[in-house]
Amino acid sequence: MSPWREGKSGPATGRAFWGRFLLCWFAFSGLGTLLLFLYHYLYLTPPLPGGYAAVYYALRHLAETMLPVVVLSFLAYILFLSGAAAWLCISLLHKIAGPIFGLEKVLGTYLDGASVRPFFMRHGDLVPDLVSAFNGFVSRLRKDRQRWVGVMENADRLCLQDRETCRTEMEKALAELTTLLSRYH
Amino acid sequence: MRRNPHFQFRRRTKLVNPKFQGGAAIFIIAVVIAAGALVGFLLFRDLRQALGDASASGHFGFPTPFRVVSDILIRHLLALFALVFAGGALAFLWYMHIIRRGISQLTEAFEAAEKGDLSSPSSVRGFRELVNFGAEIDEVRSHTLALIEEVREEAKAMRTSDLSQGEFEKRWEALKEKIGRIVP
Repeated sequence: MSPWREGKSGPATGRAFWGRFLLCWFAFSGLGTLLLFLYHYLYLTPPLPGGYAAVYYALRHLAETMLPVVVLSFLAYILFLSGAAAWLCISLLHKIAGPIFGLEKVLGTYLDGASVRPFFMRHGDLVPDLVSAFNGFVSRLRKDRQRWVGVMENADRLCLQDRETCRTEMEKALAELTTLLSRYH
Repeated sequence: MRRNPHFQFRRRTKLVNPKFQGGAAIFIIAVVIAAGALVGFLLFRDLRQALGDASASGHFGFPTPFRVVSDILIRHLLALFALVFAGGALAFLWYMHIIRRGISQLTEAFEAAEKGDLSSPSSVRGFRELVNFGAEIDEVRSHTLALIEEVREEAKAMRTSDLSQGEFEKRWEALKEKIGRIVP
């Protein structure tokens, strides 16, 4: 069974996923570096004064005051890129975390004894193999269950036809059922 | 107005699992902090050195201090960009490699269950979220196996025991109900 809702194929292939990550990360780290450059450029562009002594003191003063400038600008850079990385990871990985969360809920429902339906992925979700495997497991189990019930119902039908051989037919059905169940271990 | 046919199936909540999604961001942020601290220290050291040398040499052929340090600044910032971009991408690649490995182990657990193996543990390695999910799959498999075992034991007991027809039919119906509890 296709894990995609309405049988649509997944638009988010591995290439698209990695392409989006690399493009965004390139843009964010490039923008961060550009902002860092602009900040230093603006700080260092005021023209130097004319005289020898004035220039000397201006350069000495700049050399002394570079520490807070560099520290603050790099802190802002790290904060900017941290926010960008968090946004990027949240927006990309929700296509993996989402279906896993949904499957966890379905497994919980199954353990509670409630009805289990096939799990459909949403647009762009990235774990089709996992969802297909889950749906395969549930559908195989359901098919087997129908077969087990079918064996018993067949014995019921034979019972209605002939009451004398009823018990024998039921015991034959139980033997067949035991054989069918032995597939699971 | 035409509506996007996929819209209603899009996931609106982006932050589904903060630990799972934030884990990747933490790896990247660690790279950014390390690269930023290293390049920041080297940049400060070289800028101070260049400005100090320029003031001491008395050679002031530059209209602004930026012209004194422009080469150093550009060189360091290019190195920072390369480190952050490549390091961040590698950190994300490594994180995704662990996630992929975990998900393929989870997939194998479901595939083994489909083939009838409900007892071998999934033994998923990786991040805690994937390990917990593997444990949930194991729980589902052992729950299913317990139900099947129950049916199997009952069928065996009914075949071997000498029950009256009435008692046998009562247990027959109960057995059908038990089978119905497997994947309701």
